[in-house]
Amino acid sequence: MYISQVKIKGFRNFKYAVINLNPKSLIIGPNDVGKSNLIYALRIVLDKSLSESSLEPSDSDFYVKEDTNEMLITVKFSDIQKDPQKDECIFSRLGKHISDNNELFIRYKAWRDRVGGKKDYTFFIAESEENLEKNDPIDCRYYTKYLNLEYVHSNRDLMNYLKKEKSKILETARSRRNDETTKQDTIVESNIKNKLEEVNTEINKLSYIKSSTCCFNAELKLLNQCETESIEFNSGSIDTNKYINNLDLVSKFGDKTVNLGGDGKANQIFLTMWATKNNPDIPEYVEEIKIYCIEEPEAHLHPHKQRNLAKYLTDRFNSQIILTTHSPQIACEFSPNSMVKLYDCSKGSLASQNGCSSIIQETFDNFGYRLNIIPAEAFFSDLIFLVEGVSEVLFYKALAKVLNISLDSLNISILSVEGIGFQTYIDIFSKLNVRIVVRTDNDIVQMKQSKADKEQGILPKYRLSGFERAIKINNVLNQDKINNIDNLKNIPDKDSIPDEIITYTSQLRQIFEKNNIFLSKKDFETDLAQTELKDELIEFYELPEESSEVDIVKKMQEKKGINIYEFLENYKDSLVKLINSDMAKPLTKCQEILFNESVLECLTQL
Amino acid sequence: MSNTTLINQLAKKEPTKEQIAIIENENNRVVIAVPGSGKTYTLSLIIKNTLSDLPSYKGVIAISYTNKASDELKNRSLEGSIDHKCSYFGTIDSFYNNEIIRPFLPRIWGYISKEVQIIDFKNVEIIDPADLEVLDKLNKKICSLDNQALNILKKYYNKGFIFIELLGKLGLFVLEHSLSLQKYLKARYTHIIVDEYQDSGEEQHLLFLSLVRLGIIGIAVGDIDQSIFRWAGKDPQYLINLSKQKNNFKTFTLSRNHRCHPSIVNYSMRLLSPNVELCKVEENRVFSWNIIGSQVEIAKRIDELLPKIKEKYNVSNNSDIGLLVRNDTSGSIVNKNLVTDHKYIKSTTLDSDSNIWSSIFVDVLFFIFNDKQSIQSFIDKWIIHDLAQKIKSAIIKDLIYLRKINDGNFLDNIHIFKNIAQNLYPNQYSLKSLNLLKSVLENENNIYSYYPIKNNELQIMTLHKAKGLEFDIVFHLDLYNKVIPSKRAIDGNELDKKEDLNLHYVGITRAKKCCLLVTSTQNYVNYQGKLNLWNAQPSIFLSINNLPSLRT
Repeated sequence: MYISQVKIKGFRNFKYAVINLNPKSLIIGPNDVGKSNLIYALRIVLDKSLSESSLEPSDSDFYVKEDTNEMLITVKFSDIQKDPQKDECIFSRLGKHISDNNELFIRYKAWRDRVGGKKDYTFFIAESEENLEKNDPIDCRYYTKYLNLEYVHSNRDLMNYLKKEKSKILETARSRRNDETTKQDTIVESNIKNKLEEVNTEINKLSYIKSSTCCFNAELKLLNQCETESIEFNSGSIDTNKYINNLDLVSKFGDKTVNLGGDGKANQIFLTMWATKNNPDIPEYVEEIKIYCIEEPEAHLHPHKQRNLAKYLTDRFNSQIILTTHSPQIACEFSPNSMVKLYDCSKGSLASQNGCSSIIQETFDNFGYRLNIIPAEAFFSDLIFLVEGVSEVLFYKALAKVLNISLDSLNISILSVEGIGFQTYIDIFSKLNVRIVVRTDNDIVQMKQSKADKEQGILPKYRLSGFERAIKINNVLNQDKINNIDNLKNIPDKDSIPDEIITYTSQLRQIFEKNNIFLSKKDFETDLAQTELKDELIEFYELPEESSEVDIVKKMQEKKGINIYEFLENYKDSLVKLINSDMAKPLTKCQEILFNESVLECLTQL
Repeated sequence: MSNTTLINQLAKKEPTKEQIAIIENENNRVVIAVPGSGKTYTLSLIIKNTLSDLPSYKGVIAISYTNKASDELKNRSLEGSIDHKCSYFGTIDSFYNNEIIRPFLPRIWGYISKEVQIIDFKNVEIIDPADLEVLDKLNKKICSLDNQALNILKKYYNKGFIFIELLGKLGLFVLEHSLSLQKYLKARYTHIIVDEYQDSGEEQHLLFLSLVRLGIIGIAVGDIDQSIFRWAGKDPQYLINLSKQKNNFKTFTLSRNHRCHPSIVNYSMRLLSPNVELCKVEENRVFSWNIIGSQVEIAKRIDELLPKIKEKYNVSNNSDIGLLVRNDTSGSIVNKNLVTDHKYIKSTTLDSDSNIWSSIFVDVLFFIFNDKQSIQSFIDKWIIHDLAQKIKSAIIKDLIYLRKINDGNFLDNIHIFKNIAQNLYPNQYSLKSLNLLKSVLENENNIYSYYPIKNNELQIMTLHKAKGLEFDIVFHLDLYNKVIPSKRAIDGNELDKKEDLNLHYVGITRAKKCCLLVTSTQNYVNYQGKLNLWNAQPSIFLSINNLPSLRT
């Protein structure tokens, strides 16, 4: 049994969102998109630690961008009875509301008569969504006794939690002993008691223990005029149980003890303790179904440990787990169909493809092994700017700095498609509602010749593969498809392209630019050499002053990658010259897209 | 009277060998239990044992014939603060209603916005006569619902009505068509225990078998010789049918009558079978009286001789004495003429109504007049699911208020009754229940029937009502031909005769210490609404099987 879907209407960031979930789900999205609100929505319905007063809606809980006076949170459970032993308790307790195909719905409904007005809420439970409000409302969440959500917050107060949990863990372990072990333990416990008494006696023999209280007691006598009372140090309780319960948890390496230091380790210990408590060995009867929700489990953990953590959480728990994260390492461990990407738009926060979706999985599956190379960082972006190779990445990052475009605050990633190809990225990320801007090279490629033609000495023909590629990309990203590609083929001479083709390609460029696709004039190095940085390049590459572009390009291509980095470092101030150049256009477009969206949002509010 | 039962049972403490065999068996069982054999005790032990091994989300279904019997079984089983977990104690009709029809019928026929009310065929103002004819015919047949009937029932369902007579057939229909209902029952209940199986109707039998097929362990308990409801469509053949399914059900007997004095046991056994082996008896406790006169003179004679009888058998409370009649004719005459303090136990129309609001009102009335009953026991019985605290407090406040009324002016406070029912089951509003409550409250005699029995009150009731009860001394009246056995039985077939014999058997076996079989030379008979005094003949049941030799 697991939560398969949440529908949120009119609650905080969500105007109306449908979010599908899997037994293991990962929720990602930028800050403030509403990840925590999504979790909170689930908690309202299922977390029994939420008090009744927290269930009362406040004005700020209603979706704020429109006149909303009603909010609904509808949770759908599926596959009840998939695990007959575990789910039996739910069938017994809630069977009257479970449908023939093993589904259950619970809804929270809250309303107010106007902003600042009287508010109220109620719950419904039924076997189908249509029938939820046909049933009588239930006045309290009685089902949380046996169907609930366990929530772990990123701001965990570790030390307090450890203190509370320690004694509980010890108690559980104690209760699980059999008679024989209990007997043995009792013997050991009485030994400990004797030893503690000894310790106490010995401590009191220490001269400075006695003397330190001497003066104090003298004064006390004067104050109290009473002989009998005196204060002394004592090693503490002789009560063995109390002693044991106050033991500290420490890390041990071999025989060396180290204090529990570092938030990362503490974090791990917290999570394992919590896991132990919440995931006992399955007894004969399971009386409660729990769904686990952990926010940002990666806190303070090194990337490799984060991966371990993700694996641990998904493998160890056979109940549903919902995680939110900002960590690409953790995102990598989840299968694509278990990712819920939240994004913000004029219609409030939404989930791409409505959350966990097989469409995304299929898309990933189609690209097989290449998947692992995609930087997980891209999942967290609002916009990815795809370029051909490393040189472009370096260049545009430097340019962005100079042009005051803050890639990080805008959640823009610049990615090189080298080795993977544009198509892969575009297929996947278009489905994740990540905006895409493309800059590809204007390649002209020799067409394949038949053996016959080769033998006859016929010259090969060329095609504008760069444009073909751009058209393909365009047709994926946009509604208006460009269908006419035949005239980009069979060009006799690659250095001299017929005029009508040039006109056509200019038209195409305009369409492309409108659709966020940019083509280089030729390729990166050539384009750069044609900009106003020509002089800087000549200086950097130590070329003769009147070198032609061709020479510059040749030198650049000889030493790709590394040199570009050095060049950019040394001449970053000059980059400002490119502010209006064609090369800068894709970058400014990135900024424009995201800026326009937020303007649009403001406008719709007005 | 039921207190003495309790004390006796508790004093017994250890179960007998026969009882142990039944408790320890782990499969489907049929238990044939003679009167006084500790049937309820055995069942309560079975339930206790089963519950102790179950997780909190499982339970047993325990079906009893009346709400009163159900309460008794529940109390006995949960003695010692046993957690009933997810068990269901109730009558078969309430089970159909609460567990099957209310939650799952809307899945099949759709949700309706009105409250669904249970009515019966007598509500002529709601039912179209043509429909009534079809349904009535159907009710009398042993069969499931055909499409025509289903359409009619669905029509009334959409108006918010369900017929109590067809509750069973409808319940079976839902069970057959709802997968989730089957899963629910299977997940929640491990056993189904049905008491008084000799008075099972066809639907109950089919439900029982369906649940056993789902994997729920079935235990049917009954006594063919105590089948007294054939006239209501019940039949002991179902119990017999179960004991014949040898590969599915193991049959056990509880054969010892611990309740009655051996002489009474002998008499009762001989009544049923001329050749039965009798036990040794030192003293005879079965007596027959033939009074000169009618029921009036009988009452006089009882008044005269009662003190001596009480002294002889060391009975101090009149409430331990039962005066059993066949019908209301004799019952009211005795009621009117008996001088000794007594109470005529009669059901009110409110008692026999099946709406849940009626049951609530009945329990509220009992609660008001019984100072010994705690509020907690009322709450434990009625508040099964979570109720908001403020609602619970409102109910408690109302109950206390009603109890404090000492001017007998309940009619003015009928809205308080309504509030309680509204708070417990808001969607089962029943105007009929309110009207019945009103009619009860308008009649002092009716109100009085909800008072707890006082120790000095001798109990008068019909033989049917006495089922399951016991008394120290029993005066068994109406032993005239044409009363017991009735004219119908005399003219009728073997089955009819047996049923009346069973009724007499039930009457005799209510007596622990002493049984007086009373007939008279004349009797009043109700003919077309008027009382006629006729000459009477002693019942032939008094002379069969050489019975006179077993009594004084």
